[in-house]
Amino acid sequence: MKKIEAIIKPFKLDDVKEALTELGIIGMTVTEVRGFGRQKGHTELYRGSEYTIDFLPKVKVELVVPDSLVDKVVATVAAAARTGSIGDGKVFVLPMGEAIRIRTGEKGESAI
Amino acid sequence: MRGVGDLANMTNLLTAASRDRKALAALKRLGFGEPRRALANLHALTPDPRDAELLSPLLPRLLQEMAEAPDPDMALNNLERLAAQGERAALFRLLGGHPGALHLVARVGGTSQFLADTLRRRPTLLSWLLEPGTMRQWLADEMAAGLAQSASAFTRPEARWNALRRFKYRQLLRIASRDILGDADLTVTTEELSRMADVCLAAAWRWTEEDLVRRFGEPRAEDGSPTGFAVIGMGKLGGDELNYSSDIDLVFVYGDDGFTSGGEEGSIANGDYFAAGARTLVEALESVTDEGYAFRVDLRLRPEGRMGGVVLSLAAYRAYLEERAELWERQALIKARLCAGDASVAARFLDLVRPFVFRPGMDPDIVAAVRGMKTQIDQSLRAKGVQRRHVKLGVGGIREVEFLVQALQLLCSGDDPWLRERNSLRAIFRLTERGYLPQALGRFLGEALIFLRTVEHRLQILDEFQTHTLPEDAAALGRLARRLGSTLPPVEARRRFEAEYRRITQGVHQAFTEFFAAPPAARAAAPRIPTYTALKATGFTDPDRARQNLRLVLEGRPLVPYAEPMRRALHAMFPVLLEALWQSPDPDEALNQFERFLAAAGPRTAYLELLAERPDLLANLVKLCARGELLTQLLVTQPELLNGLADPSTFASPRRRQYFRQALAPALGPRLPLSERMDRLRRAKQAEELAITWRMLLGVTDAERFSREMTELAEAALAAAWLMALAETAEAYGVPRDAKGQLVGACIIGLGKFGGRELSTGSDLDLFVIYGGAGETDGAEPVEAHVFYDRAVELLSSILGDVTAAGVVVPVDLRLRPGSKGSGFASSLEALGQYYREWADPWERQTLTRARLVGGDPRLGRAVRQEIRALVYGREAAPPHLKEMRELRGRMQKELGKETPGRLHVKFGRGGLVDVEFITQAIQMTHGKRHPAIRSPHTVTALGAIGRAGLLPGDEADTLAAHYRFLRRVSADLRLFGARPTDTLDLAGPIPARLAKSLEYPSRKEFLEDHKRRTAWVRALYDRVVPA
Repeated sequence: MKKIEAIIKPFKLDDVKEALTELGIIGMTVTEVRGFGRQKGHTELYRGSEYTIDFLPKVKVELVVPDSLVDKVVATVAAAARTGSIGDGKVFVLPMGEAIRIRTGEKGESAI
Repeated sequence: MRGVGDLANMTNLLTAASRDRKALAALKRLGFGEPRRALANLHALTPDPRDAELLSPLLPRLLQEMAEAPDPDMALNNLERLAAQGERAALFRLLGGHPGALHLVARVGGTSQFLADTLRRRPTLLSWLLEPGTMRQWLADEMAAGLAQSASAFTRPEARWNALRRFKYRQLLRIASRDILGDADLTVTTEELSRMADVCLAAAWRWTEEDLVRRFGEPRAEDGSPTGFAVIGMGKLGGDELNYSSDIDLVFVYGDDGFTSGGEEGSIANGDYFAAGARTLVEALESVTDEGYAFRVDLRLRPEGRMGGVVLSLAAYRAYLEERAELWERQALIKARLCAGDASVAARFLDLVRPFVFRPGMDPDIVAAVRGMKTQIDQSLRAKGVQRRHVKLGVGGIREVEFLVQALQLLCSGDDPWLRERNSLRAIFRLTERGYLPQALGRFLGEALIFLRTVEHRLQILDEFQTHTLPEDAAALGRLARRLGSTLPPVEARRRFEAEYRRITQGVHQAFTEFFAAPPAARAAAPRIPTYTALKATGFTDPDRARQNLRLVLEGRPLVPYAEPMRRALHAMFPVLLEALWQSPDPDEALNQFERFLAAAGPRTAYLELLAERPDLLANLVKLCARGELLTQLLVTQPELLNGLADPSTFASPRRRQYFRQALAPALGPRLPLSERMDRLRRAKQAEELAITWRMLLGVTDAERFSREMTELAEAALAAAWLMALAETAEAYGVPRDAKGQLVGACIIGLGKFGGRELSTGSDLDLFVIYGGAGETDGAEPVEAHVFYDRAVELLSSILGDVTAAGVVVPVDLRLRPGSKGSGFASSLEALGQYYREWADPWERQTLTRARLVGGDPRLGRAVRQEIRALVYGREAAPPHLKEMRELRGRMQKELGKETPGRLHVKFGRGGLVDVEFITQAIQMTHGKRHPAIRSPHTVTALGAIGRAGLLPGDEADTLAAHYRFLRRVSADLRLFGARPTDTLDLAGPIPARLAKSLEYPSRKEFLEDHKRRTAWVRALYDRVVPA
């Protein structure tokens, strides 16, 4: 079991969601976040007015998957979130200690 | 805006009680129509005190933006709904932190419920819209890449189609936002919408096809070659003027019948294959899923409409057009273009359709049919009651503008291809530019179409309904006016809008009615058209047609009535015209062509006034028209050339090479793109060619001098094109240098007529290019010298020979170059000698008798000339192989001459031009070693020298030269008479009589007899000099 955290461009969320659904993954947690990586704070010109951006709006998608699916999920998320330009985001894979379904008390992979 | 200042201090607005009178009054002052609801929305926006804390710093700016939105209530309501969709804190941060966010949300939310809902359903798109890279015009390629990127993550068809739907909504939101914010005008918006549809269609067809190929294999024509399918866009899509909620009008065609090569499910007929594809495509585009839908497709413009098959082969389409197509269907095809699928099928389709849509000349049936269609429109309007509020079909609405434009296009674009324009707005500009629409009217119609289409857009974008009716409700109309950009309060905005709408629609309707009104009864002052008998007596062979033409000349083509100054000019000109016609070699043809010229140039009164003031010019123009279609065509497409002809210096004296070089110089403008320079070269060369021909027709130059000028013009064009080709090639590779760093030059050798300075109308340039020797270019990407010159020659050939919108300069023929057909386009000096010594056939050596240096590096040129002389006339050069020459000549006569009792060939026929050339060349190759004087590539000069050297008995050389000149004149005239240059002389048609007249023979019979006598003499001599 691994936890996968993807920070992506917000408008790519629907593509990512649909691509994950194609893999049979139905559960995920989505949060609107702000952040920056290499695309860090800079000035931009939008329709003629200049402004400084410290943090860019992003969406964080979190999901926990069995080890067998990790590579596939990572590849799928990366493909669906890609635009090829700066700020496409990151995918992180984290070790997962335990998962428990609260309603039933199931543990491990059957809980995810 | 008053009130905002107060509000800045009213931190309690977010917490004010819902009936707080002060708060409500303030909101009302700001322009909210329903202050209570606005206040409720503000409360709903901040359900939590923490939200209110985040929002309150933005509040003044937010309320200001909302107040300025076309519909403040709607804007605020939509903002509240958007906020409910995601994390408020994130949204408020975005609205506060991005300078364009509040403005965008307010304008979009206050203009279009449809877009606001789209955004609410996909709130993540807001941050995308706020990226600087998003809000600009996207090229088709960029959109295609975006779609491919999104779809690439999916393999399941349904998922791919969903990605396409999301792509569509995303792009729609972008395009419409730019429109609403005023960043894009109507033309850009509708073009972007059309490009977006194209991109979706292309991807959709690709996916559909992949699946079909897997199931059934590839479709093949009967002969086994692959065949394809094209999605043709019609209507607004075809015209690149798509609306937000337009259906897309499509027609599907496929190349050829046959069967597929077979796949998982076997092989089926192409028709079934493409029908299945079309059904899948349409279904996928139209079906509605959670992600919405892509497009609504309208296939009713296909043959037989709803009753017809969904896909048609090209052959079936042709049959339909030939047998059944009605006028409105032809009218609809004006807008046809390739949207997706196989470009070659689409090109074949458009080629097939063109002659049915754009008919040359004036089809009197069209006028009646167009009037009939107009009457139908009137009747349907009457049946529904006068609809002033219908933007599209109402009185003075969009349809009246489009109908008028398309009717004019149908009427006039057969003769004037410039008018074949799919986009309505551009068509109006072109019609005005060409004078078919008076300047003021053209400007007004353009303005009216933009206004009406913008109104239509704003109506439709509100709810994405296909509505065309202005709202009855005064308040709604006020909001519409503000959505159209008015910043006035709604009541005032509505009043202004109504006045403007009335002005526009009344103007359109007046133009429409006047345009289709029957022409006013002929004025009393109109000149009388000569009677049938009078015309017959003065040499017209078809007096009825002539009378009809004269009427058109006087009254203008139907629906294109003359303006008053023009009418006066024409009336003044009429007697002079008749006089000029009677004197011309072929009055019927002259009148036909003159009418065509007038229809194209006529609306521009300036040309007519010029002609009326200058009877000499008119007479000459009529003479030119009598010379047939080729020249008139030039004038029809570029009437401005007439100005050049009116300039006395045009005919004064023969022109020299230096003059032509200067005339073509504008084509060399260094900062212009190559395509523009190519077009300039074409136009400049054509203008000069017309002037050269003009001088010949007027007798300023004789046939000999004419060829010389044509040759020198070609040399000037060649020099310019060679410079362009070298510069372009050098830009890519640098210039070629040998081992010592010296430039490796090249020169151009002309052969055939070009070498002999005997070019006439429509001649190709026979040439080859020789470069100095081995070397390498000094650019970033070095290539060998032969590669450099190969590229340069290829480019030269396309700069001169490619057919662009401006026509061609002159076709280049490289087939006589040293080396086989497979070899490169340029040879080194060394390879030249080697080839002719070791490989060439005797006839190839014969072609070198007419070799002449025509351009490039003169130093190298001299070396090449020396080498060529050595090859033809040098000590080791073999004497001509007369038997082989005779065999070759026999084949040319049979295969290229194809003479029959009723058809002569001036060039390849018995006793034709080639006979004279072969006689000359045989003598040159036999005696040239000892008589350097006879080596001229120019046939007449060479013959003169041959006579002086006594190489032909008596005055035979002079007689031969005289016959040669005669044949050249016949050939030159023949080339001018036809639509395309030919050397074939049909005895049956009108041509012999015309030739007789232009060569000043008393009759057709005498001309033909003389022709027979001369060619028989030439053939007899040929048999002697080149015996079997």
